[in-house]
Amino acid sequence: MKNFLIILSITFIASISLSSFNVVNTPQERSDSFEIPKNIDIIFSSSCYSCHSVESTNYKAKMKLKLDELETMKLSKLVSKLNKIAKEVEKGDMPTKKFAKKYPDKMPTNEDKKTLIEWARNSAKQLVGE
Amino acid sequence: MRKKILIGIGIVLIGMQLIPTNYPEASENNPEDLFINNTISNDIESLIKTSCYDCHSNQSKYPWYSNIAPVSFVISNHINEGREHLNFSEWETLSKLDKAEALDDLMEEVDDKKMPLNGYLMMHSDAELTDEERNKIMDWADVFAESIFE
Repeated sequence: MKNFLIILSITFIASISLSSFNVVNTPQERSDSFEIPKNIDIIFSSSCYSCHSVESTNYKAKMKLKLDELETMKLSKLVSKLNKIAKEVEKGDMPTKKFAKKYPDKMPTNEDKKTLIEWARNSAKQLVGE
Repeated sequence: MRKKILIGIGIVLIGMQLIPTNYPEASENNPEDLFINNTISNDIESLIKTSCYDCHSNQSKYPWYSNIAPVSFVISNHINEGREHLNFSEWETLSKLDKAEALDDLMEEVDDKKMPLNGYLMMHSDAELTDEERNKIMDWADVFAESIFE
């Protein structure tokens, strides 16, 4: 009987800690399966991540957008950021002139930009069904 | 010499008053308004109406000095630009995506303390937002943005 109670309490504690562990691991619940495709990730890695990622030391850029958080963002955030990526790249505001001057070899080609803009716009529309 | 300069400045200032200002129209009847069409707490409504509505809605309240050039040029310019970026009176005409993006911009601007504009706060101390009020607005915008897609 005593053993039974011990097992019962262990199961109880384990289930509680497991469920809280789950909550920690899935900060946002999004039902879609949004993933950054390989070809886009290559463009991000070369031209964007250095400022727009968690490890970046560019505070301003980081505050506006951390690309490595895209996949776990809430839906409303994700679609807003995708739309803004498309707009900024289309306007030619991103990457910045400073970046272009410092790292000309890391700049996206016009073809890359087009791919990126189309991907961002279409993903946003698809995610909200508009 | 000094007298001449003063007279010159006076003439320019008086002459300026003759230049017509392109005032954005103010209207109280806005069926597409954010607060008319959504259930939002009175707290948030009063914060946003006090701190944002002069430039980001059709319900702009013009102060007495808004008729005097060159202040009038600055004010009408701020209001025109403010409405262009975001007009809460036309909220329901936005697509879901545009709404989400507007709220994301709002959170950034409020967090960064870029809004309300400093020049505006100089003349409207009641529009000033404490850190706590800023957080309240950002928390609301975050939840409200998500509710758009539910």
